[in-house]
Amino acid sequence: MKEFDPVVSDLPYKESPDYVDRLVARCKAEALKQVEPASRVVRPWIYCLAGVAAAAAIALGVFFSIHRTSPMDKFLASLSDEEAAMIVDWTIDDIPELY
Amino acid sequence: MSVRASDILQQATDRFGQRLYWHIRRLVVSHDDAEDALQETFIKIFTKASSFKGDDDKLEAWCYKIATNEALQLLRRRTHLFQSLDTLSGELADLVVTESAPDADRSAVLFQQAVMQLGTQQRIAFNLRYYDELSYGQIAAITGKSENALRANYHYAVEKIKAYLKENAI
Repeated sequence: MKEFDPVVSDLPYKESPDYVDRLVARCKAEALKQVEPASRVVRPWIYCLAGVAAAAAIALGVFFSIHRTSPMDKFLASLSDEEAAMIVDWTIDDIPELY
Repeated sequence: MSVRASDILQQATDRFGQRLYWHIRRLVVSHDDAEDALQETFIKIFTKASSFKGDDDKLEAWCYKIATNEALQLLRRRTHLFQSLDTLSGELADLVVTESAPDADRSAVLFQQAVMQLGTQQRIAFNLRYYDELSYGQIAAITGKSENALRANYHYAVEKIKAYLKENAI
């Protein structure tokens, strides 16, 4: 496109192509550095949330594992082996009348 | 870090880095401002990479569009509220002298001052066509103007520059 007036249309600035190449590389590095902190701030929050979620899951697991034991299981666990054997041997006729 | 964003930024810097710098420099004149705007351009290219849907050919116009916007945004900070960017012409023409190399050819300085007399739209159209040698189609994609309007912009820009140079004895 330069046929208009090439004699006077060169830029009067002093920056050489090598200098601009280095400048471009520096600007790119700076740009990446500026974009990076955002992800650095976000990432710890993600780790924090993941940690809280994991802790909550563990707490719930423990809670349910404790409360999963039914009253019957508790009762059976409290019996001696002999008593448990007696219960197993019970038949419908063995149940005493309560009234 | 997104691989696509990194890839697009890499392409932009490798293929158009120099040209984007000079495009911005021709608009803002100051080297320091050009450096700031170039950095902002790279940040935008990286952060907006996911919104770039075009193919390889469109990447150039997309990068130029971002660079143009960043340069104009920087110039806008120098103006008062509701003041047109065109009012910066005189200030930018003076800045050309300050920013020129000590041994710069006087005619080259005068030519840039002549370019600074153009309105912002004309200047963008002139620079992209004359220096960057982009097609009117590409310039239309960058500026959002019609190709015919850009042809007219370029034509009037050349006439104004010639008149300025004649007036200033070159």
